[in-house]
Amino acid sequence: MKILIVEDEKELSDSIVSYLSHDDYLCEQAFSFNEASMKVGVYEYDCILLDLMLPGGNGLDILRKLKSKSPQTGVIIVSAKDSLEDKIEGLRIGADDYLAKPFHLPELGMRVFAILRRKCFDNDNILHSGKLSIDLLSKCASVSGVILDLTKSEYELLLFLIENHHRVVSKSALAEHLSGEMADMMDDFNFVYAHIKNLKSKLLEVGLTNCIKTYYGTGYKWIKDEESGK
Amino acid sequence: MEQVINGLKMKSLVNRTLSQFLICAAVLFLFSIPLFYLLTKGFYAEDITDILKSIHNGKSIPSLDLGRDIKIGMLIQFSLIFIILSVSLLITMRFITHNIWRPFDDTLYKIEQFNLAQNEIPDFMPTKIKEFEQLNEAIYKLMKRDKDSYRIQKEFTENASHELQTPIAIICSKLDLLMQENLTEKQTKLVSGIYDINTRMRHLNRSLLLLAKIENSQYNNTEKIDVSEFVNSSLNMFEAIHVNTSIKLINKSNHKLIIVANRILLECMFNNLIVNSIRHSMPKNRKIEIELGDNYISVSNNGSNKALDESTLFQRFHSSEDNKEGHGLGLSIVKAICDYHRWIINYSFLLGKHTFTVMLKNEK
Repeated sequence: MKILIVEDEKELSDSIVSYLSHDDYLCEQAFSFNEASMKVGVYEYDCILLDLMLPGGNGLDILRKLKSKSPQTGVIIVSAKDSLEDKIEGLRIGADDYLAKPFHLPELGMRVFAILRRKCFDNDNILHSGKLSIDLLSKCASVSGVILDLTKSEYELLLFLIENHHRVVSKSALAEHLSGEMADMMDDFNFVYAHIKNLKSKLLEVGLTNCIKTYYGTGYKWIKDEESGK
Repeated sequence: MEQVINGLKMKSLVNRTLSQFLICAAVLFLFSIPLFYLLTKGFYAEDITDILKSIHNGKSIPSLDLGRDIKIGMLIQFSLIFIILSVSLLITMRFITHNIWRPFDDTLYKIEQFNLAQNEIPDFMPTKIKEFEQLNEAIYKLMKRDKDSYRIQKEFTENASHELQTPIAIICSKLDLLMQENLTEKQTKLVSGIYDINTRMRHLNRSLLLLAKIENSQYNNTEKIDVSEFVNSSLNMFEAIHVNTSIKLINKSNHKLIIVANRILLECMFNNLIVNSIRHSMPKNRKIEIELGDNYISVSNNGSNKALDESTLFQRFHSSEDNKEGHGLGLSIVKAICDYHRWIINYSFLLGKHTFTVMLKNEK
């Protein structure tokens, strides 16, 4: 799995690389328009994170070039310029997703993994994690055939944690994921506790005991059931 | 004294008024020629006519009252001239001057209407008066300077918040990475503290950027929105976030309330109002009421038994002494969005219930 990160801010780019570079993902970086343009022209990637404001040119031009050359590559636009026009234009040209800066790495991770999963498993809409499986189309989770009765928020939470498995996801990343734009107005993210508590007890009912590990009340991590049992 | 600007002959105000007065007087004198004729014939020439008539008929010269006639004639003559001059002065003052001063009144009106934040610099009525032209020019320059410095100030806010996004994003990403390390409880608590501060900074910055963008009119695409549909879809979102809150929707409208607004801003305003009322309501028994009327929407909550100070309510970074939560921009954003759409927002306090009402202009 090859991922190209086109981002002129080196620190940010490095953070993204070290967050994504678990498992078997290979990350490459490009820091300017020309470098990105060259790499896109020469190599094949499975997923590209594209900043729109680059030194030397507009990221949308790279997107156009890429889409004419290898349209199957997944593209996520990452931009500080959260103007609606750019978003619409980017999605129209063929970007798969759009993320406004600043963002949490787990949020980016979830979107990248979703795109890569779609590409690798050829539109398999069932996500497995140990005994738990999630049907992405009907948005329901089940454990060995027993369907879990989850609210919308609990489902979103579960999916977010599973997509970022083996990584600690902070409470504020979860809150932001659940509340979207509204997170800007809230002062405490205590509602996350409540949802996590409910989710945990629902998982307990079907025998998944230690799947969500809590880190001193500030971070959460999803652990596959067979590993947690060990 | 004459000057030509933009093809218009420039005259000073005094010159113009004087010439208008002279023209007016001349016209009135012209029209009063028959009166003077009758006066001369009836008084001054009366005796001569009588003498001529008597000589013609061969009679003796009749008794004459020349002295009396001259006295009365002169009296009438002077009063006639006096009346004509007064009338022409009156006409000049009343109607013609009014006409000359019209560009001035227009300018005055436009200055009164001028709003730095909203309007463009107005076009002043073209005028032939030199002083008015100078006044218009000076005001135009003044307005332009104000507008420019206002624009620069707004751009600065926007650019500053924009530039802050990247460092904040980097801190955020580094923290997300730091969380992956095997931290001790103490370290985790520290990281969590930085997280919270960074989140606050991020929200503050995003809110400032939003305010700057509203003021820079960057949300100019509007659409027709059905308010009750909009409220219902927004409420679903809130129920997911606020676990222990009852939000009641009271629909008092008789017909569909459809407004023309920017959807992103409307959402932002509504969310801010709800979050604000959740924040200030009693945590134990949280009751939020949303009321929908024919041309208004209101959000109320039960809260402290004291009315809020309306004069500082919508000010940026103003927080009341007993409540330090929030970043102090929520209601400023609400106000800015209302101003942008020309809606009117009111705050009222009745029997422990705080209510914010937004009068949405109903599209006819």
